[in-house]
Amino acid sequence: MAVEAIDYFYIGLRWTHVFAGITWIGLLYYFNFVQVPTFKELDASTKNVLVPKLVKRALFWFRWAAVVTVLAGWTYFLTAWSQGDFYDVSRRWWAVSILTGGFLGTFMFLNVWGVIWRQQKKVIRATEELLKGTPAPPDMARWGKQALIASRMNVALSLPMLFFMTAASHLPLF
Amino acid sequence: MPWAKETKLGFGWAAVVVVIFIGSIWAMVRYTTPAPLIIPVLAYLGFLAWVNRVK
Repeated sequence: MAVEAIDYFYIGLRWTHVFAGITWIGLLYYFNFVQVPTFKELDASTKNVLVPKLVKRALFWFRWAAVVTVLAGWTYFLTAWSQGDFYDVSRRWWAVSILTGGFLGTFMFLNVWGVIWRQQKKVIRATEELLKGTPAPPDMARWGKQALIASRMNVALSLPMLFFMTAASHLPLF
Repeated sequence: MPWAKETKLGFGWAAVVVVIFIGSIWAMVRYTTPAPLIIPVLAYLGFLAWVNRVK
């Protein structure tokens, strides 16, 4: 079977999707399984140094990896769909599986930009101001709490998201 | 160690979202119409409105 130009496009997108996805979800697990419990054991002055340095940098890769993952995934899906390269009614469970994975991932992406980053950038800015002597704003704890709920939610959503994404290709039922 | 309140809330919302998404996407594929997608959209907006009110 001849390899066509579009096949290179597909494999490029698929590789990008998986690579960026590993970066995104890897950092999500780092935040939830490593950073949050470690920060609970640190004193305030240490955290105030780490937030503008470590957390800010980790969040940069986290949120942009989410963008690349979602863009590559949907570009792949919509291109292949428009080319008629997949999707027919006889493969209904496959479509349900891949779309459930895709939409759960999109929900997680919206959580990253709509809640986690939106609130964490306020925390980072306030911490930077704190180091210059400005008192912490009263809403700082609330911002952190809202970001944490969305982050925990994304950890929980990552399990079915990965199941449906991989099941679409690897579970015979689908 | 007991689960923190934020963990319970996050996991609870995730469970609701997963059920809503599977049902809506199944309906979308089964009836070949994008109309059921409005339900996941409303679920996200509902979560966003709720989480913004968390104190």
